[in-house]
Amino acid sequence: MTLTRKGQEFTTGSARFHDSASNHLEPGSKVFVRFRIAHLEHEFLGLLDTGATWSIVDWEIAVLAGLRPESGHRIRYSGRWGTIEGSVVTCSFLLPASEGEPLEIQGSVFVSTDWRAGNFIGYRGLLERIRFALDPQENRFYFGPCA
Amino acid sequence: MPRALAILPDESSTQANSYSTLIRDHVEKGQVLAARRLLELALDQGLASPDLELWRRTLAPPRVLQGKNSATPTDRSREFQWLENESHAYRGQWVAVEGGRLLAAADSLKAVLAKLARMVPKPQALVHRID
Repeated sequence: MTLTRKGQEFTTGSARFHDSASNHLEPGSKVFVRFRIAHLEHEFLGLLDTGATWSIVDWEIAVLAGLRPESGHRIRYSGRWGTIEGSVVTCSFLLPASEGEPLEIQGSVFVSTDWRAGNFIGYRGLLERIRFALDPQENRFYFGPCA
Repeated sequence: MPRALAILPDESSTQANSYSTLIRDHVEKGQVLAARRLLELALDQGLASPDLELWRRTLAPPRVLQGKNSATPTDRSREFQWLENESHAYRGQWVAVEGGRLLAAADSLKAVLAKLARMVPKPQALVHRID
């Protein structure tokens, strides 16, 4: 099922999200969505975090995905977890669908050799060009490309 | 050679470096839109440097790649159920789950993916670290 707005397609795919990954850096009920990154064939979970400037990818995933910090400018990234050093690098990113179409994006994420605290799906570089909506009753994450 | 022409490349390089520093300051403050505007301004002035080129690539807004992926829709309800009910026994490990069944667990993601790579047929797992 996809969503429409004023008769126009608003989203093109959807997938259930996980909301009880108490094993994450920030325990409690959160919205964890599925993603694939670069050439890696398997899926991972990332915390949907519109309050995060950048997405952050766990360092072990970044290494195997071939995301090299030296391919971006070194910066300090501050958030509610503190300040970490790393780089913003470009990569391909996929939101798998359980209904409708998956969404593939060429975007940017933050990687740091110090980061082993899970994956965050942030605003700049990824979400800023995605239409999305949540249905907490069915734990469903709807997504689609911006027109 | 006129003196101004001899100095110009240095000035250009200095300006590009100044812009790059300013862009970094904005990025580190989370002001990405302002950083993009600065970058645009620098490029509009004809400034060029490896640093600015790197900013151009990494600060570019994301692009949706239309029609590039033909992945079959997959539901992960059973994998989520497994994470909820069974994952506590695997704290500190990476796990790979498919269809509600644990396929692999190891201390490193590399080891888990190596185990998955040896499996036939090739699984399409959900991989997660249980902390």
